[in-house]
Amino acid sequence: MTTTDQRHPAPTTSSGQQLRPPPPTLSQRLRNNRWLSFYTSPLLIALFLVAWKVYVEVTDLSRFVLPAPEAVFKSFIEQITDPFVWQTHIWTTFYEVMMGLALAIVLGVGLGLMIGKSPLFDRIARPFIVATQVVPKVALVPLFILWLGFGPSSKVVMAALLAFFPLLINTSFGVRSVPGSMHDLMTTLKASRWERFWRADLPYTMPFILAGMELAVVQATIGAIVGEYLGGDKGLGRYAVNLQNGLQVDKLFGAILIMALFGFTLYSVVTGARRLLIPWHESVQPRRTP
Amino acid sequence: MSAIKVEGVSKVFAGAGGQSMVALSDVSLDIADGEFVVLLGPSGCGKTTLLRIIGQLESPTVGRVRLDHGERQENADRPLGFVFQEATLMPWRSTGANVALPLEMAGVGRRERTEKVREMLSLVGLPDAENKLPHQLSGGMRQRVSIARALAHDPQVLLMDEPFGALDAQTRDMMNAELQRIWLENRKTVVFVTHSVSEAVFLADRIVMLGTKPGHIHSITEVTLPRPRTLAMTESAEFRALATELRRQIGEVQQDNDIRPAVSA
Repeated sequence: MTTTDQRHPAPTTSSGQQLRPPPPTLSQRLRNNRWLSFYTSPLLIALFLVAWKVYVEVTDLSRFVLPAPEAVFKSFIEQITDPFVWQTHIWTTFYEVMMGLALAIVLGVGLGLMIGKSPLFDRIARPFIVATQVVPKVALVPLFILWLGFGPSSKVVMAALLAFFPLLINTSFGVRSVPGSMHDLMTTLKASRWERFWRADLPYTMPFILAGMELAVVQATIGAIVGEYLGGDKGLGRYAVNLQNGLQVDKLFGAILIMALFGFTLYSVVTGARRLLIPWHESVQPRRTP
Repeated sequence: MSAIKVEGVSKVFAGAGGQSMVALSDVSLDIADGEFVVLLGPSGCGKTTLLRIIGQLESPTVGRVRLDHGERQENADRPLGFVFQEATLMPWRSTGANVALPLEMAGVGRRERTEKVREMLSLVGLPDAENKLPHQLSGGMRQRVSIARALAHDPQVLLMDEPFGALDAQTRDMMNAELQRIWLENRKTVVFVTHSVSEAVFLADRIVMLGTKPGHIHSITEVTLPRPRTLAMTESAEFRALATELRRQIGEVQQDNDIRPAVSA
């Protein structure tokens, strides 16, 4: 902008000196650029791929240890265009993660609300809940397989076991964070327990539940895949084991990439849900500080 | 006829280490219909506790509070209006929806709600804020919204717990003038807690000064300054004399407070 702009003349001091804010520094300009990661992510990925390719060429590694990036890319394209991979593996894992999450939401949010509302219940139930978390959960997989078989059920339980804890902790914390004045307000309005829950506690806790969901969706994915890995007949974890046994290392990389994209997609759905479910919350509002 | 009758109310809290703390001791007070009463006193005198007991947020250990005429439980079909220190708006509700909350809970229909919300928002001077979210408003505006909410269901009694304590001095003066205007328009019975002497003198028909250890009524002062009172009147000799007298009393009460532990030790 020039100083001759008639509509927005720069303010002046009493001595007539023009006052303008200092121009933003480079780091401020970068920070304020919404599209920054749209430039930096591809750039960093490209750098990584070049380094990978150079390393493979220079060291002349066996393709059974580290295949070249283009070989991995080719396998990856083959894999994601293969309906068998979708129907058998991706769908199975997706089903397990979704069912596991559903179970975790019912258990985690339900128990979290009870723990948050009742200090008595908290003191009675907490030792048992913590016990489910301090046991190395991977060690439970053989037990679940023994009880529920090699099918999806054992993985659903595993996913739920991993995912319910962050939901429970966040939910109970959220319920407890409802300000005393909010309770007072509902009391003065003669709210019933039910009204208090629907109109105050639940909306107030929603951001906490969604923060728990971000952790839970990642944990559920890990739970399902580890379960398949240790004893399954289908799913992305089982797929990776098959590829390893067959020494199809380029496809193994492709499978890992599919798992990463799988997790990324689920995570994005959850963060997207924030905008729908809690559009009023600070974490969703555009940042106001420069 | 008295709108609120406080009869021999005492309140004891269980303190740390098994000790009990007497917050209020044998407080009796009659508040007339349409009267503006200010509870004034230093911190720790139990003025907020008394307000919360009147508002049924606490129950008295001894004594009782009667609203209108009759037992408060029986006569409690219409909730009180309560304005808290913080605006206590629900951040997920728009300004209008916040004001509508008491109406929703009373089962008022949508059309009537919208009408009432608009009326209340213009009463508090925010006719254009209906669709804004609370975090888009300033502290003073938020407190105006909370006053609109407290008045939305047309309560007979409005209880206010240091509602302007968190605001800066200029905004506070303006809000006091606004509150007086609103009160003159609808003449609710108001019980207002503050520790600001000038706020008390500006607003009150009657100032109830509370003393500490334990909380009790120290004095009751009628304020006969004509209404509507203006900010210019706060400079008048009458206003200043009253304020000086009340400050002297607060000093007395606090000195009391400082000496007591030394005596009992």
